Amino acid sequence: MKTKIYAAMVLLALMNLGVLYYHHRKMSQTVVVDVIRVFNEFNLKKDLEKRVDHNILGYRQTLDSLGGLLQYAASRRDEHRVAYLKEAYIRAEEEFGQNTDSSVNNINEVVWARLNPLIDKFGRQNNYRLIIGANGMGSVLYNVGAIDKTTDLIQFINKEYEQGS
Amino acid sequence: MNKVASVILSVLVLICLSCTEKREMTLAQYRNYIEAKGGGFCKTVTAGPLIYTVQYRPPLYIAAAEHKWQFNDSTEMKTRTMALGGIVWFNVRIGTVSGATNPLKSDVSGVAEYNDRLNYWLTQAANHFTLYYGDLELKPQGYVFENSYGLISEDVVVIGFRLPDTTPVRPLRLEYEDQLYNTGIIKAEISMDVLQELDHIQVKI
Repeated sequence: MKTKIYAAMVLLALMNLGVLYYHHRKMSQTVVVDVIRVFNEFNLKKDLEKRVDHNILGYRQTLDSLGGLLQYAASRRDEHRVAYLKEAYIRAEEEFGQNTDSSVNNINEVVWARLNPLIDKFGRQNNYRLIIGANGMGSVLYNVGAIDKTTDLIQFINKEYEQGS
Repeated sequence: MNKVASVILSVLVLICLSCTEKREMTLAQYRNYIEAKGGGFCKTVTAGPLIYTVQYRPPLYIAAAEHKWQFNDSTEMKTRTMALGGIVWFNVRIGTVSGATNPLKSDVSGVAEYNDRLNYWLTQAANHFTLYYGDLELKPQGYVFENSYGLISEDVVVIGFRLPDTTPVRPLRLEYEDQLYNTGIIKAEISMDVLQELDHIQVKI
């Protein structure tokens, strides 16, 4: 009888140790994600880019129209109108360049502001100790595939973005 | 063979009955159920310094709130609830992560900027909300901005969309592009599974 009790106690102790070891391993896990992939595959970035592309198309159409009018005025040798349209064309081109640059910068800023709390939440939910951002520039030279959580993170951030939490 | 068939049939009937069985709730329980974070009717999005909380408000929830969570009888409850059908309402609470002040006053440079922000919420923000309902892209039918005047760290938008159906039969996805705080696109989806759960709730008075 005593032997059975001892055996049961040893078994319980081993099980406890197993559970503790599992939690310790999970908590202390350090994982790697490819930040460039995460950034590029975030649906918010794709949505914002679609809107910028739509605006760029509008600017291109304006420039094309102005170019057409300019050619027509030049063919009729209407110098006054050519000068006026040239000025308008240059102004529109400058505005187009400035807006495109600021839109791209704005997308980067907005996307990172949204990504950071989501990455934080992902780490907390999975009890990771550290998430290292690899970007192919040499910060991480080698990692075992098992600790690469890029795909999991992309799925997580896109679900959170599309549905809210 | 007949015995096996009858057992399988009985199990199937039991499953069907358990699926159609109504869950009884008091009004207070119903309120907690709808407002529960992570329950599916209340969604939160953190974007930069702001937190957007989208609360779906079913007709019964609105009717009960109007009656201060106490109906005199079931007729009063049913009449008002039915009258509210066909339009889906959301409360969008916009708060600051720091919780120090409301977004209207947060980091504001002066009265002029405060007035510009207020003007945006009163006259322009409604155009930046869209409800996606199946293939339909719906624009708001009703919009109210509730200024908290800094008494709490949130300002609230109440927004409603007219549906082609009396009650939602497809998922609801609310999208908002905040052009004042430039926080990108905010999305909140109320799934069909969650919406269907409402059909299985019986509220006791």
